[in-house]
Amino acid sequence: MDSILSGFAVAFEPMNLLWLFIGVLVGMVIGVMPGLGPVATIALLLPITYEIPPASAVILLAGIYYGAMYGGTITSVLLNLPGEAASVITTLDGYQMAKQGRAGSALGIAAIGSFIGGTASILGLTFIAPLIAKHALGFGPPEFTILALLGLFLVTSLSNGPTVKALIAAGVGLLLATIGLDPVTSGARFTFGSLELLKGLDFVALAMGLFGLGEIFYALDHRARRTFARARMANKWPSKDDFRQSRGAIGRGSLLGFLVGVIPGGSGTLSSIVSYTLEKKVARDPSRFGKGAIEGVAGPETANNAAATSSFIPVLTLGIPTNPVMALIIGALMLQGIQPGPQLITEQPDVFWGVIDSMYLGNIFLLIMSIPLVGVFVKLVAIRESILAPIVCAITMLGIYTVNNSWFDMVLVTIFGLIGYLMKKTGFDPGPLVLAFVLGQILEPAFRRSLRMFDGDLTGFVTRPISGTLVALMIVALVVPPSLRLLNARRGQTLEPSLSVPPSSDAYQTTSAPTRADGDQTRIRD
Amino acid sequence: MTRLLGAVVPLLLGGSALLYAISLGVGTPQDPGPGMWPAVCSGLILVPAMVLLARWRQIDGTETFGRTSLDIAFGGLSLGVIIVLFAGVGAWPGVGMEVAFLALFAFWLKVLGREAWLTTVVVSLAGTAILHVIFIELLRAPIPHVIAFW
Repeated sequence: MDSILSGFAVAFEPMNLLWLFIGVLVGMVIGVMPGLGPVATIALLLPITYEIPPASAVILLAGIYYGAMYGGTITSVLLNLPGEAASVITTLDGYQMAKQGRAGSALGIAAIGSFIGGTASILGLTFIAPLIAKHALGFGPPEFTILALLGLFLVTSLSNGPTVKALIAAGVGLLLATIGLDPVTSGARFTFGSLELLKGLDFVALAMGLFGLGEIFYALDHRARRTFARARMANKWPSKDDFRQSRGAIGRGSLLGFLVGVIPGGSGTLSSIVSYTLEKKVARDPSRFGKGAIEGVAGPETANNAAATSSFIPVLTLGIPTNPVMALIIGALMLQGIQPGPQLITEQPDVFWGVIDSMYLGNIFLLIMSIPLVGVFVKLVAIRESILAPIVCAITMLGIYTVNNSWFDMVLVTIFGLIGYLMKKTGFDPGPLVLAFVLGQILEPAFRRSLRMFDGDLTGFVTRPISGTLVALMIVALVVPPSLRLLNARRGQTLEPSLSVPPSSDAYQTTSAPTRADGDQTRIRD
Repeated sequence: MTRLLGAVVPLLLGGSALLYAISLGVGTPQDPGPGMWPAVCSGLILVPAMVLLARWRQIDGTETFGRTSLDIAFGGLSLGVIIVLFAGVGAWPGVGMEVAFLALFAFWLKVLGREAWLTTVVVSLAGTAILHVIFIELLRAPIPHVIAFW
C-alpha cells in the first residue's frame, strides 16, 4: 500500500502533472488527425523522453497512447473519419447517432465509457501486476526465451495482412537485432566494416524511421483533398435512457478490454471489434446496430481504453512488449538505462507505481478535456498532409540528431523511412518487425544461455514446468487463430452493416493514411 | 509485379543472411557460435518467403507504384541532401539547421506538396523559426546552427 501511495506522490509532482497533461492533449490531437497515429507520434517523441526523468517519460508516452484512443472517437462520430484504427468500429453507430442529432450522446458515452474502462483496467493493473512480477522473478533464460517467442508468434498471427508476411517482417526484425557485436564472443556481425554499426542499430532510429517517416511517406503517397460531411451536435450530453442502455455494454467492455489488452497481440482495435460483436450478439434487437445503437459506441470505446491500459501489464512485469506502442515504451525506458522486467517493481518503484498511478489522473484529464475541446479538434482535421509532412519530417530529423548528436542516425532514419514506406506498399506490416527487434535483444542471449544450460538438448524447454506450459500455450496460439479464420470463412459470417479495419490496427498500427470508413462499402470478419 | 518483388526480395535477403551467418560459424547446440542465432533468424525469413513465392499470385495486400511513388523517392533523396547541408561532409562543415531546414520545408511544401507560394513561404519561415526556438533556444540542444540569442 505504501508503494501505491508513493506512486501517487510521483504522479502528483507538478512536472509530472504537466507531462501527463501534455501527453493526454497530444494523444487526443493525434488521435483526431488522420495521417499520424499514436505509434508514429510516440516514435517521434522518443528523443524528448531522453531529456526527462524515466517516470515522466513513460507518463508522457502512456498519456499519448490512451489520449489517442479517445481522440479518434471524436472524428469517428462527427465526421465518419476514424483518426486511428481502434475507432473505426465507432463510426458504425457513432456517425449514425450524430446524423440523428445525437452526437453529444455518442461522444459523452464514449468519454464516460473510456473513463470507466480505463479506470477499471488500472485497478486490475494495480493489483495483478505485482503478483505477476513476483512470480516472474523466478523465471530463468528458458522461460524468457519461450515467453518472448510466444509474444512474437501471437503478434504475428494477429497482425494485419497475411501471417506469412508478418512472419517475414518478424524474421527481419530479429535479424536486424543481431547487427553489431556478438553478445557472447564480442565479434562483429553484419557490420560490413562500419564503425557506426558496431554498437548495433539504434532502436530510436529504427522506430522513428519505420513508423514516423515511413508513415509520412505513405500518407504523402495517398494524399487527397478531403471533404467531410459534418454532423450536427444537437444534444450536449447523454440522456438517462442513454446511460441505462449503455451500462451493460460498458461493464462488458471493461472486462473484455482488460483481458484482450494483456494478450500479446491484443490491442485497442481487436478489443473494440470483439466488444462490438459481443454487444450485437447479446442485444435483444441486433438490427438496431449500424443504425445508431448507443451500445455500439459504449462497448467498443470502453474496451479499447481498457485494453490500452492493461497492455502495460506484460511490459511492466515481464519486460515483454505486446504491441508496437509497448515496444516503444520499452525503448524509452532502455534509453534511460532501465531494463523493464520483474525487477522493475523493486529496483524502480517510483517508475513502476508513478506510471500506474498517473493513469488514474490521466483518465480524469481525458474526461474533463474531451467534451469542451471537441470543436477545436474537429478543426485540426482540416490540416493537409502536404503541410503536416514537412513539419513532422523536420521534427524527426532534428529529434534523432539530438539523441546521439549523430548524422549517421539521420541517415538511418531516412533509410528506414523508405523501407517502412516500401513495406506498407507491398503489404508488410512494420509492427512485427519493430517488436521482433526489441524481443530479439532478449531472445538471443536467453536462447544461447538456455542451450548451454540444457547442454544443447532442446527438450529442456518442454520439461521445465513454466516453460513447458508456455510451449503448450504457444502451440495453441499457432493453431487456434488459423483454425478460427478457417471456421469463419466456412461460415461466411459478416457484420451488417459491415466494415473492415483499415490496413492498420493500433497494436501494430502504423498507418493512418487518410481512412474513410464508409460503413456500407466495407466489412470485417465476425 | 509488385507482388512478385515482395516475395523475391525477402527470399534474397534471407538467403544472403543465411550464407553470411554460416560464414560466422554456427557452432553446435552445446556450444552455439556467433552465427547460430542469425542463421535461425534467416530461416525464419526464408521459410515463409518460400511459401510467399509459391503463392505470390494468391496473397494480396500490395499496392501498385505510381507517379506519386516517384515523389517519395525525391523526398528520400532530398533528406540525403538536407543531412549533408545540415551536418556537412568531409572538410565542408555544413550550413547549420536554419538554412538546411528552410530548404527542407520549401522543397517538401512546393515540390512534393504542390502548395501555393504564399503557403510555402509562410510555413517554411514559421516552421524553421519554431524549430529554432524549441531546439536551440529552449532545449539548448547541441545542434549546428548559425543564429543564437544566448
